[in-house]
Amino acid sequence: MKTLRLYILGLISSLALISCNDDDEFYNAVYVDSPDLIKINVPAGGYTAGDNLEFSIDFSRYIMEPGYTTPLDVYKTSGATSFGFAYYLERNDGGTWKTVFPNEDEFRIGDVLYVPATETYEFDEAYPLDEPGEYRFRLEYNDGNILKTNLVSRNQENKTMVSIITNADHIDSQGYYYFTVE
Amino acid sequence: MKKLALVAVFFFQFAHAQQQDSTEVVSPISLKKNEVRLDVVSLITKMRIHASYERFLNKDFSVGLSASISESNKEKKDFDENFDRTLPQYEVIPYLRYSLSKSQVSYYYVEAFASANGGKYKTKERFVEGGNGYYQAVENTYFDVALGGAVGYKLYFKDKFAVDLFVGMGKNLFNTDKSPEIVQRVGASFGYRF
Repeated sequence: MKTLRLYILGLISSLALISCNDDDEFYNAVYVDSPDLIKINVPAGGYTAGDNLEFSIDFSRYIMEPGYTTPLDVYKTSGATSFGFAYYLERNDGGTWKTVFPNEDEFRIGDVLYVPATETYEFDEAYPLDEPGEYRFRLEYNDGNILKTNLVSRNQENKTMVSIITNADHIDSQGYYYFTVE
Repeated sequence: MKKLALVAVFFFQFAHAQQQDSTEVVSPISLKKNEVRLDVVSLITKMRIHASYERFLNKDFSVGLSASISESNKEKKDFDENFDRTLPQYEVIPYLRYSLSKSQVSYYYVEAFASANGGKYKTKERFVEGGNGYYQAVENTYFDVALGGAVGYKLYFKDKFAVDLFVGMGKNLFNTDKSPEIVQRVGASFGYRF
């Protein structure tokens, strides 16, 4: 009984020092659906070793927000000079899909940068495909939807976070873009 | 049957006499009806001034009143930078305690409390300027009342110095779209009984 009381005392003491913030839900975020922002450049003649996987993202700082007649100024809202996202590229190695990124990195982070002159956010990637084989490309899954991804603002500290929910073209029902390099 | 009844009566008398003869030890503490406390741990770790007064009604029940003001720079910074939606600033807590132990020098207790609490909160609002919309966090003040419970442990030294540890929580009732949903009741106080 004495030991039990000591345990209870210890538990109460520990809990007394814990600051539990019941307000963890991040309120200052906006989620905007804006489809088809990610374009995969599919070469007409297919890929050969030495070619690049090319895909790009390009959108205005003013994007239509469902439910509103006025477009949303994502730059004024977030103050972000870039939006971040993640993508995967794998090659089939004897039946096992393995990442092609250096250091066996599972994914890479892309930065969609703000261009003040055109008031747009832009990203262009040309990843070298040095080895022949079967490849697959996908973006980081949006929560609950494997066909979509999030472009997340790197907003200023006292600004509202903007998360743009979008998708890439040419992806299959599992969110992958499969292609072969000859 | 008559003999059995007499035996039962004598047994009861004997037991009752034993109870009367075993003198109940009254702690000097029980003669001191008032106590003041300060939550030192909250003051040091969270810059929160939390003071309490407790009145002991009898050996089982006590009532009290706590008040706190928060001056935490970290909480204020998190609120200013929009990481936290609310910034609790003050709280007044009347409470009722019931001792779970016979000892008056060290005992566990349960507590029921009400909390009148207030502070600042932020909401995300959409504005339109030049034909385009944008979002911004807007600051306001809130006030709410919570009901809740806690459990705790009290220990006395030299029949006057108290250590009081308690943990519990309450739920705001009226303005939960503005105030925090949960009010924590956590403390590690040192006090003086008189």
